[in-house]
Amino acid sequence: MVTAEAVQEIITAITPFIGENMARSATRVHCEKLGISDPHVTPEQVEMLIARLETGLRVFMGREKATSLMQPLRVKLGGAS
Amino acid sequence: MNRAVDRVLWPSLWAATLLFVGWGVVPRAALFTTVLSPSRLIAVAAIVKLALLGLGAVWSGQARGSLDVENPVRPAWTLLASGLLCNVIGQAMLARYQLLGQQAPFPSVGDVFWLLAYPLVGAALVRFVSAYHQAGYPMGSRAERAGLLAVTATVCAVLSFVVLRPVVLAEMPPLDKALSAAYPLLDMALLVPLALLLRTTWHFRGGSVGTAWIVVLTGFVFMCAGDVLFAYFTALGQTGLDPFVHGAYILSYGLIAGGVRKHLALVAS
Repeated sequence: MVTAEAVQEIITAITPFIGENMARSATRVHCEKLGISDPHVTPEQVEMLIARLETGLRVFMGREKATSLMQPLRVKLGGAS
Repeated sequence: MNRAVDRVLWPSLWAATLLFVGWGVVPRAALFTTVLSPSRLIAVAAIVKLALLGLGAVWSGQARGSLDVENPVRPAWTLLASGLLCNVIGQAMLARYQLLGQQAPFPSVGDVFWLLAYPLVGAALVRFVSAYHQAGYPMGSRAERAGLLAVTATVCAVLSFVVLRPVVLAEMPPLDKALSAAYPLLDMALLVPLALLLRTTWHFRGGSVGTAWIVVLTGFVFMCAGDVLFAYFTALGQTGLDPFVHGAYILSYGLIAGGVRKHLALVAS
């Protein structure tokens, strides 16, 4: 999977909640920590990235809502279900 | 349901605020000398303030209840709900007199609850900052936070000197004077964690989290402004400026309640 496309999908999904600035910053920081780089990303790395961002969203919207927000991304980007 | 609440809350808040600003600007207008006499307006202000504070406390409690037990923000919501509940009790004690057209005593038992609200709200703001940092969001360095803390504390110290001067110099019984000074002092202290939380949540601007926090924190800024105006006008004996104090408090409580409502919508939507 192309890294830039996967990252953009994730940023688009969380931007309405935490704003584009934070969505980009948080995704970039987690990508660096997880060793995700261009040009390709594995489904396992996508799952880890989604899980990290989901943990951050829980403080605002709770576990259930954060999971329901991220689940379509998991399906779409091929992360673990 | 959420939209229905928003459709009522926001227009009502703007209308109520404008009403009291209007009263302050043109107190001799026919509206304010006939239908809406000062005693009626004070009663209206008491009911509106009580309702808005009550909504803020209830919605904060609901925001707490909607989060998982291990959520690090839950204790912050508990503290905020408790602080707002103290304000509700304080306001209810004042409203008793205001609804009957009587002069509310100052100081009163209500002041105990008003004062108790400050440490609770202050602790809540600090817990929010801490929880958001723990959640792993990139929010700048410790040095930046320390810098902001130092600047805010200095500005608040200078403001305290300006605001407290007429209060300290005023001819008042010692307890009245101590309480008149305590409120703006506590407000200035509250501005420090408030600035920290504003800086933290500013990173979320453009999103619903950022909007909700900007609304809540603007509400607290107006609460501080209301307290400072109240102390200032009381010390100067300018009771004619009371409508602006009522307006500031109504706007403050409405923004806090409305902002908390937006937080609650994040979980519920």
